[in-house]
Amino acid sequence: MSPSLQDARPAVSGGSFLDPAALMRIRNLELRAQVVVEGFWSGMHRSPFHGFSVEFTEYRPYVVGDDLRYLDWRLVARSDRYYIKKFEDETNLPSHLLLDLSPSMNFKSLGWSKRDYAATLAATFSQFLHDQGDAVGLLTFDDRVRDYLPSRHRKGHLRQIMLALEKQSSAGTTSLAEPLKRIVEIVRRRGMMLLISDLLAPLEDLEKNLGHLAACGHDVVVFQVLDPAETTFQFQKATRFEDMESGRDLYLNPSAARARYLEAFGQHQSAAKSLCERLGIAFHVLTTDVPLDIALFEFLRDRLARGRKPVKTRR
Amino acid sequence: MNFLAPLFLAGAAAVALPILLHLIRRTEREKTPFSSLMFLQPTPPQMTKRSRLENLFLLLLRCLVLALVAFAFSRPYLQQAITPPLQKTERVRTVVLVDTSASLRRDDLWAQAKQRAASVLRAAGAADEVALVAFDRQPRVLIDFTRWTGSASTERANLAVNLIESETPSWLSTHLGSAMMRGVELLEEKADAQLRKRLVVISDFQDGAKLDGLQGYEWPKGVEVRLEQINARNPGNAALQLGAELASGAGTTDGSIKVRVNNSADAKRDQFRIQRSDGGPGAEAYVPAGQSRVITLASGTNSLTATNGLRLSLTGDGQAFDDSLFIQTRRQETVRVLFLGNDDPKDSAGLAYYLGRAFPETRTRNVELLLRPTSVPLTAADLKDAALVIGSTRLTAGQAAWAKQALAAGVTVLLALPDSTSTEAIGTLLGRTAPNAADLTSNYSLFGRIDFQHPLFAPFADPRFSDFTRIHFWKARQLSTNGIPGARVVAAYDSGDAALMEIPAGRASLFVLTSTWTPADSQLALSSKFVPLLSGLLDYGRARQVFARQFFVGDSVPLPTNGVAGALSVVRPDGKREALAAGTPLFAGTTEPGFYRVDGLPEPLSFAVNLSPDESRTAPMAADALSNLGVPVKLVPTTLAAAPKADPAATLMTAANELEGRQKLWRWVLLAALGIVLIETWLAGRLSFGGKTA
Repeated sequence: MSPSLQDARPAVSGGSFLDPAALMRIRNLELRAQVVVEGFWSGMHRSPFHGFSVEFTEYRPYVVGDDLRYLDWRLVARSDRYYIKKFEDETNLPSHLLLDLSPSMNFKSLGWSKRDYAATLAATFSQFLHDQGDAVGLLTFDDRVRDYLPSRHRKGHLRQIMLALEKQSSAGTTSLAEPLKRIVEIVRRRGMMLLISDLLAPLEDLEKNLGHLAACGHDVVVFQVLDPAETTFQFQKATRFEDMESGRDLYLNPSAARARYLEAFGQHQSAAKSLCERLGIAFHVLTTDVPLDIALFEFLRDRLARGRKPVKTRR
Repeated sequence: MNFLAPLFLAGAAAVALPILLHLIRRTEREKTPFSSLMFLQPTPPQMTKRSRLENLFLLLLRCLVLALVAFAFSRPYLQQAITPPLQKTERVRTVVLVDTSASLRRDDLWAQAKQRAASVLRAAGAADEVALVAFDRQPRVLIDFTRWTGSASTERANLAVNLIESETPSWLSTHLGSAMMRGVELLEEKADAQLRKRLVVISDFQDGAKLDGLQGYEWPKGVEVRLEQINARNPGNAALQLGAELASGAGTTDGSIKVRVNNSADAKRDQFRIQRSDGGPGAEAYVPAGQSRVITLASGTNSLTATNGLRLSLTGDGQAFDDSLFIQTRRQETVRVLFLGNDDPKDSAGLAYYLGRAFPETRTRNVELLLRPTSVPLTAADLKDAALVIGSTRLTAGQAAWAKQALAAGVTVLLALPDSTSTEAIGTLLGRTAPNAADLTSNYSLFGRIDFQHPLFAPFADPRFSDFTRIHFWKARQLSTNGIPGARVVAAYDSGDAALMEIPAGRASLFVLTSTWTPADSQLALSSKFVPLLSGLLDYGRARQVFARQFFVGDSVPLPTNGVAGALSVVRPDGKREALAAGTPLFAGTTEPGFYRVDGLPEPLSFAVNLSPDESRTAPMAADALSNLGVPVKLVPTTLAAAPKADPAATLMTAANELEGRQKLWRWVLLAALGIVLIETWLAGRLSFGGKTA
């Protein structure tokens, strides 16, 4: 698996990616995820990474009782030795999607909100991982855990995940501390944790809880979903700005407030980034105008670039 | 344009509010949801740009509403209609009318009236002209403008006040209408156009005041009327009034007396007692306020006679001035009507048949009809007590000569003209040649023109009784009146020819009917008018000899002149004797209620004078009684404290208040404001809806 995803990137950015606007017009979340994943697969077929998921790892001598399907017949023909071909098995990687549903995720400056985008992202990952044979679980939260579906790989489970994702977001504020604590308690088996959130909350507790999660052996990936308006603050009109979580409002003249906002926001982002780096956590920032398959690509590329394999368990 | 409450105009400053709101609130009201304010700091609002003022028209409407409301609350009125209040620089011509009627005798009303009058008089400026008029039944000018302006300016008020001080309320009734008209007449008399004309009426404005004449009176422009009402401390009054029979002077058959007790509407008492002066049994009367009851007093020991009057007193009503009722009756008199002619009184085709039924007996009069056919010679004795002589023109010479004597003695003669040839008698009676007569050729005639002013027809003047069209004259004659001096056509046929004419002759009148009342000639005897006509004719002749016994204060009492030798004198109720010149036909000195006696007659004559019942109606008249008659009234409050000690500012304020109350401009302004609010609501709704869908 030497070539990196990096090589595939030009082809990806060349316009074959799904326009988020077009994607978001698909009402059904499951369908949306399928579109992304299938598009991704079709891209993969053209790429040199075919067979990515069933990766050869080692041989071991055949003992009586082993499944003959895994016997390397070519080796038998060549050397008359009986070896069982051992493949890297990712299907049993238990992954959990941690999705932030707090009201701040409802913000949108485009035709879709961060929540829509995040749900599609989560659905895409679910579909993708499921298609790979991984067990996928879901945990949604705002200031506390709302829905929890343990990671499974069985028929109908994906459907359940989709339904949970389609639920309307609830009230409350973004509080990462409590849900992260809960997930540590709930998920004992090591696996992958995909945290999808806008991270628009104080970062104090985040370090501790993410660190705890990482320390438990989970492979943590953070996707920060942001609206373009949040990164640029290109408002023109002086109005009252209302906090979507607390309801507090504030009279603002954007042109006057922009500089300070960008500064504070930048500080927050860099703090979050450095925090993740410190903990060895992959940190991806996605704005809602970025095609979803890029997120998928970046995810995979990042995983390869980091040189770490997902945690494996053998059958 | 002036304002009653100009301070409210300051409320117009509130228009700043919508302007401010348009500057701020427009931007504040829109909220932009944002995911988190954690990176934001508040910035101060900016509103310096003019371009922030959105929806200028809406803003204009809102400002207009506020301005209009403030405008309405300041109670605007148009100045030009206001009559300028009294100013020292302006000359005013004032007529002060002071009521001196009997009702002013209540409580301290007269003192109040004098005080009011004095304050009005003393308030007059040096350049003002004032006339002072006292009125009751007649207006009496105490001071006219000439005398006022003629006296020293410092003395005028004192002079007038002294004059009013010397007045006392009379016993007369209140003729407010004629007094006010007289006041206006005085004001208009040789008036300077520069002068403001003002009529001040000081009165108790009682319900019984007569307003005759004001109806239909065109009130001159520019005359300001101020009514100063004075009120009694003890309202309410009850009074006695004679029953109809007694009022006519007739006695009662059984000696009982019927009186009506009236209680005024504002009375607080309803229990009264009636006592009689002859010691007879009195009566209790219960009369609720505003009602009247007829009380019958049983016959007393000394029942009413022609010579003795009876005085009834009412007690229990608190106002004494009208509590006495004086009753004087007259005895039944026998009068004679002579019929000259041969008609059988039982023959319904003859004239006499109807006369026998035309004079029923009444309490004051018993008519004796004497038939004098040609066979019975007439004597001078027949003239005694004769009041009326009736006959046709077919008189014998002897009858005609006797009738002429009757005329000379003052007896009325009525002749019917049965044909066009027998006019000799008329000539004889009048002492001249007989007038020509001719038959009218039409099928029938009707009364075409009737002189309702004539005493004979005056009772029929009311439209209810004035229909004579049912009386057909089948046979009528035309009698030329040419050359007969003093002949007066009382009634004429529709052809214009005289039907009934009065010709003065001797000391009486000769009436000639150019038809007869027999059914062959006319329907006159069968009509309802016949009896009253003959009765009127009877009284017409006797009016100068038969006298009423009941009068009201101020009435002129006719005095007998027949057979009176020498001068008469009248003894007034207070015992004073008033000598009258010989031949005086009327006594006008009935200035107080009571019994009067006329001395110097063969038979003593007494009559009773009472207060007019109208004067006893002391409840205040309806507030709009005068203004309904077109009088431009301004009523001054009743308490003395509010008497016109004219504070010019207060006067101006009052005038402005009234003017504003009349104009009520604020209503229209508020209505306009309401309309604008509706437009504003519609517009704002449209704008905000449009904003949302955009």
